[in-house]
Amino acid sequence: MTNPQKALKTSFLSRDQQKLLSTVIDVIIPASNGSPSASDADVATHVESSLSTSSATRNLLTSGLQAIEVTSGRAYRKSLADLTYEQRESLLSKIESALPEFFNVLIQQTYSGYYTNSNVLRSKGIHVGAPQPEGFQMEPFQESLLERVRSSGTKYRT
Amino acid sequence: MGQDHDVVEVLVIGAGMSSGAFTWSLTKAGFGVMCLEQGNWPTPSEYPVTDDDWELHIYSDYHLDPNVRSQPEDYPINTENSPITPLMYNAVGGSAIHWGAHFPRMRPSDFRVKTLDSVADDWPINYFDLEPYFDLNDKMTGVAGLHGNPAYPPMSPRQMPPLPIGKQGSKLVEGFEKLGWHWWPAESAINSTHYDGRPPCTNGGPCITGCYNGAKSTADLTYWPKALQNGAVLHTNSRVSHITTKPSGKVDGVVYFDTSGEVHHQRANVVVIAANGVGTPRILLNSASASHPNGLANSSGLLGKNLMFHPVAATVGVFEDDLEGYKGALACAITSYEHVETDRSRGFVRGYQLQSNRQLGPLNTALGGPLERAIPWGSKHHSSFTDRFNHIIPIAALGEDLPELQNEVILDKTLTDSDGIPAPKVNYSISKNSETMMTHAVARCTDVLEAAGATQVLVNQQMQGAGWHLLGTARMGIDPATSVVNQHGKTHDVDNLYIIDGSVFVTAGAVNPTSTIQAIALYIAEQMKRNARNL
Ligand SMILES: Cc1cc2nc3c(=O)[nH]c(=O)nc-3n(C[C@H](O)[C@H](O)[C@H](O)COP(=O)(O)OP(=O)(O)OC[C@H]3O[C@@H](n4cnc5c(N)ncnc54)[C@H](O)[C@@H]3O)c2cc1C
Repeated sequence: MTNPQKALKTSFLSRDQQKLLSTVIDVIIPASNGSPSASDADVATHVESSLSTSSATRNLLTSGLQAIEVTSGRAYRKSLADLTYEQRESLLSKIESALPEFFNVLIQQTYSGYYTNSNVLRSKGIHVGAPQPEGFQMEPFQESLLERVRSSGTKYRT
Repeated sequence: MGQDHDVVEVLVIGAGMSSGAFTWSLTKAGFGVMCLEQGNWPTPSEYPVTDDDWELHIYSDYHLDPNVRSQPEDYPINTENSPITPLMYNAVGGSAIHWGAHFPRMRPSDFRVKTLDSVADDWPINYFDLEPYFDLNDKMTGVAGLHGNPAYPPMSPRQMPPLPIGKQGSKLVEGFEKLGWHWWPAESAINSTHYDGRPPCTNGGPCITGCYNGAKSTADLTYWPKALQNGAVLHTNSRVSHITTKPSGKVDGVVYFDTSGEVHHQRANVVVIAANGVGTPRILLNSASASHPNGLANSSGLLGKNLMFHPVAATVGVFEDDLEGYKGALACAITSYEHVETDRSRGFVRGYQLQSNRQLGPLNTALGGPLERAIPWGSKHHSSFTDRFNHIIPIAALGEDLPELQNEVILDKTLTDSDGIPAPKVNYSISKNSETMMTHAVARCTDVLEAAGATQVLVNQQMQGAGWHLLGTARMGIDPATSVVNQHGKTHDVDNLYIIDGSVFVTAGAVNPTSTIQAIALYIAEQMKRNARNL
């Protein structure tokens, strides 16, 4: 999970850029049926800190965010934040086709932050916690299922 | 054999799955063996499976692709000319630290494809030559499975009963039964009961980030502790750059780097390579010398050629029922050999195995898992996630790749690892036969998933991240003109140089290879013992 201490140190976006990032990731994962939106699940911090590791990834994010605002201004003469959800969605579809590398990384990091957040998992009724060491109970295999296959003759050549 | 204490009797490069089996066998017979491994001993308490954020690690420091993981012990691989990415793990236990532990043997016809199907080449050894070594390896590994699979000749009893197949498995069985197809519970190198001091699997999965509980069999837990007890010497953090030769043309040792970058020359009477189908040709190509100008043991020109991966078509059935896909071992539930033998009416030769898989966690589901395409973002995001999570059955159709000269491992001209050793480059393309086979496989997987009740079947006909099996780059054969090693694993060109990993495969079969790789390693060890006087 994102360590807030670490995230603070690795923050490189301006306040405006951070706000825009939150708006963008809430188009990607909006709130629904008791599940938080991406920004409510602190995913903006995760995205920013995961992309803070090199100048290439930092530039990818900042230039992608800039492209979103430029495209929004051209298409609607408005900032993304002032558009309806449908308009935001259609605008991001354009960005997805125009800047596939940026968009793939953004999706990857948004989903990574979201689906490892315990509040999100709880809201979806998903088992929270590590798969080991406890694990899960399962029924043993029932050999009777194999009756037909066993009597169907050999299936190999030598 | 030399008595000089500076010269080891047998030096093995790599401490993965083949090496563990081989070193145990030789040291048990009293041979002096030293092994050099570039990685470390794995530390199960550090495997991320016990952390809440375990899934994040699959995309970072436990990534299956060494180029992304990029840990100090990993070497880079140039994969720009390959639609399949080679995957491996570098540590004691080797790539199995990440493996799914699906443990089928290759099948009798796999060794005789020329005779039976007029393609590629027959092996110089066959299933029945290897049978005692399959049996021995099963005993050392511990196999959960069931006797009586009609797709194999009668086999020795399995060590443990099969793993549970869960709701996903039971559902899929309905499909196989409706179609009247072959299926069988998976042969698994995972304990279903206590075995050899290791506990049974707790059905937590996900296996591919390392098994904290130790129920998943890997050589660091099975063979290596016993080999060390027998007197084997294992140096970790020791990366071999090349093998050295004497004027006679025989090898006399290896040059390796330790972690501080210091260079050592270790002399040996016999050198054995177990660095896997990519690592092995890399070392041999980098060992070129005046007497071996094209790389060591490469007079045939076939070193690094005929790389085979097993192309994989992934299909994912979506079901209305909650199938609890998070429960159970990732890659071990149901296997089908319905389409594994040649049927020319299908438009291709040889065949494919069907292997059902579990789902990983919520993050992997969102990122598409084997489909390698994330689920939709935007207004349809939540419903797409809900439709899939715990409601899917993935099937991997694993096809027999045929050996082809243009599929190869070479040395990259510029890329190197952190010690400056040239990195390998993989040139690979999918053959027409494999492509036709995978199209057929997708249609049949769709049939069985629909027969089981899938409302939707999603397809990734050519998985990129499927380079789990690295085979064929130093093939075995009788004729030195058309093979690199003989039927005993000894290189044709150099009397005291052996290869024991998946590089020696003549053809790939359509099953996961490690059971066969280890059986071959045990078989070669036996041949060496028998010929000890001539070593
Ligand atoms: C994600 C994943 C899932 C898999 N699932 C399955 C499965 O379900 N069933 C199955 O049968 N197989 C599976 N495999 C494949 C299986 O792991 C391999 O077939 C097996 O490990 C090969 O054994 P090996 O000894 O040939 O090589 P490895 O186990 O790869 O060992 C090679 C060793 O050599 C070392 N080495 C390499 N170069 C050097 C050097 N220059 N100097 C020193 N040391 C060196 C490496 O560090 C490594 O430890 C899977 C693999 C992966 C990656």
